[in-house]
Amino acid sequence: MVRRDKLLWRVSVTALGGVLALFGAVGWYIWNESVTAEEQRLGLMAKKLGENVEQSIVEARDMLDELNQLEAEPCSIPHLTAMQNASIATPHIRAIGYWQAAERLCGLGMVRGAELMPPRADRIYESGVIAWWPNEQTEVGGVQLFLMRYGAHDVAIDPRMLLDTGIVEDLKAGLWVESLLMAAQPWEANLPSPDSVPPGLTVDQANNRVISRFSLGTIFQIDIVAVEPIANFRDRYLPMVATVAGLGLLLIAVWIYLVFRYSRHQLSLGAELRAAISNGRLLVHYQPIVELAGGRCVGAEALVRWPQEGGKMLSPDVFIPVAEREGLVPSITRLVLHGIVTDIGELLRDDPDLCINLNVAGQDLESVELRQALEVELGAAGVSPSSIKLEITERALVNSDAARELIQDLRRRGHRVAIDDFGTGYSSLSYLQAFEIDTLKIDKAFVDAVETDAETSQVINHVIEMAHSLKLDIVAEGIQHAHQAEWLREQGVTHGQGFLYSKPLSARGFVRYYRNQGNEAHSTE
Amino acid sequence: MTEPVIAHQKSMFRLVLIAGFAMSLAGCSHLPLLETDSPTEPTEKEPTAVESEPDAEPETRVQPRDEPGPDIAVGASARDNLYASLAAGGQALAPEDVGYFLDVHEARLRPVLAGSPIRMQRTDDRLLLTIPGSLSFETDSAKVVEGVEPMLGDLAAVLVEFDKTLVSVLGNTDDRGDAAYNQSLSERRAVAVALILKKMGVGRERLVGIGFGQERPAIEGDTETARTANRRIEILIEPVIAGS
Repeated sequence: MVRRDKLLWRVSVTALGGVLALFGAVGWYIWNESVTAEEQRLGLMAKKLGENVEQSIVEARDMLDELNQLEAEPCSIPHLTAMQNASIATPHIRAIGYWQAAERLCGLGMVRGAELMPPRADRIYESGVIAWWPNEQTEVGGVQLFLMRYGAHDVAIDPRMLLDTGIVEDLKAGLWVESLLMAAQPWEANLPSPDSVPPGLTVDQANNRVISRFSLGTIFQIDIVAVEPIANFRDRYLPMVATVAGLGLLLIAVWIYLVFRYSRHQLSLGAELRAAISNGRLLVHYQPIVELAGGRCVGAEALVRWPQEGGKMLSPDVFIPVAEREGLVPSITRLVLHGIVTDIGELLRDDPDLCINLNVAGQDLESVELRQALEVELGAAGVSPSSIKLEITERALVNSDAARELIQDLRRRGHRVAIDDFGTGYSSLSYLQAFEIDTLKIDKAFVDAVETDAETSQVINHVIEMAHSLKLDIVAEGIQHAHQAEWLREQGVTHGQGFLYSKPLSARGFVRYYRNQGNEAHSTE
Repeated sequence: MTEPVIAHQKSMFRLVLIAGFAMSLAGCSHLPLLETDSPTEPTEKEPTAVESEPDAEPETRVQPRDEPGPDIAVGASARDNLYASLAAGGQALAPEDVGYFLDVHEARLRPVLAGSPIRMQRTDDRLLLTIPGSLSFETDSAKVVEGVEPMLGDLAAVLVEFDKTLVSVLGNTDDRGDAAYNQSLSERRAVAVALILKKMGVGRERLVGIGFGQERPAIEGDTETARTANRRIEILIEPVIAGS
């Protein structure tokens, strides 16, 4: 069964490949979904954060501008009130001051002195705004302040307040404005700088962390870098992973089930038979039918054979029931018919008396295919319809008007009809009158019983009598011993087939057998 | 605030030269200002009132039109003296405040200069403004072209607020003509601009005019581009640092 092995191997590889592919696809999907979801989450957070900071800076600038435009006496009560209102309205403002050159004339807030006058500005804009990013010089009480001065006023901002803890949650995050670190949470967090990190989400397996970078560029260039332990990332997406993995396993189970079903189907005898039919691997063998008197061969029964790998033949007893179940019988019949005209068409054309029996099953009688097949095959080969005798089992005949009509039709076309396995059917014998029949074939079981004490040995006498009374030819099947042949001949049975004369022969073997006995016949005459 | 920013640019060659010059001034040294000694060595000059110069040219009209009295100090040594007296006068900056002072000063000047042809260069310890000569004076004249005064108005206001500086107005010419004459012309031009600043409120004790003639070309070369670039007035703003 090399073919089956090959098939099994192929199916296994396919199944394994399918499972792996599914696992791969599911894994890829889970990973992708998690990363995308996390990226979206962090991206949204970064956007909010960036916008907050941007807004804070713009608001600070506008506030300074308004104070510059204020038409109050410097350091008067209205001026101081305006500064106070501005600082109270904004939680991250630590100080507001009014300056002349480098002298702070008045102001509000907890900060004053050198911290408000760092020696080196980070940015001086064309608009006249000047800014100092948080650094050691602006550090007061452990907090490094962000300073901005515009015209005569300045403001000190606590950058920690810019990173809204509600947004940042459990992340370590840093915010860069114009590539300078503005705020971080916590401030001492050791964050990679934005230009060392690609945009979006990066999984840093080596350090067990997930790094994300997002950039905004509406008014300033703002970069936000967030870092979280890979475990957090995992925990957040575990439910999704589990769900999708479950779904994936379900898919895999379905796949395996489908593969299993497919392979079972592929491995079934029916499928193999189907393949054998379509590949023309079925062979036709011929068992000679001889005259009991004299042993002259007058024909043969065509028998289908299914050679298996290794040279064995699979018996029709095994595969014909399968063929019936699978509806393959008409195909087999057609194949056998084709085999007959191909193998021994020449012999049939040469010798019109030679008649080959073709087994026809119930399924053949239910369709028009058989008639067409006979017409086409015999027509093409130039073989006379009378050279083909149709063997129909008793069971196939069960009171079918269609079958009767078909048989009538076939006989009109010149075919002869034999009842196969006579005596084993269950129907009444009335059909013998209803159908037009030429020959009865007595089943081997009755022949075996000849001259024994078995009950069946009595039955054969009646069968023979009946055939005689209906003027039917009789062919006895399965003759193995000379005394059986002798007895049958004495009872008036004219023809027989069986191992006594010949086992089923290959086409070439049959042609040789037929031609040789022809010669012998000639020589004996 | 959207525009990108030039914070602390590296000094260019020219600025190094100026820095060297200014440093020698600050140190009250009598060293030559330039590698090549000019025949009109400013250190040899005493502070002189412009009107004392017996120039017959129409430049005399540059002199204060309506303000009487001695006005603008002239020359490098006068500058040294001014600086020394400012530094001693209690109006000087603490050394640690200089960075902040200059940063804020620069920030203030930026929007003021944004629409004008005046260029600003910044080094660690000074600001240098350059007014293209072609825009400010008629050829071979110390007469200030109309329109320069308004241009200097906003600048002067900032100079008034940021008062802890010494403001040196430096005149430069191209290399055509007689070097001595050019020196004189450049000095008269420097004084003319200094007078405008004074008129606008910058204290005369902070102002000095210095003529360099053709000795400090901005661009070396014989081309018209170079000459145009070299005819210029510069305003050097130096913070006055206590104890220096």
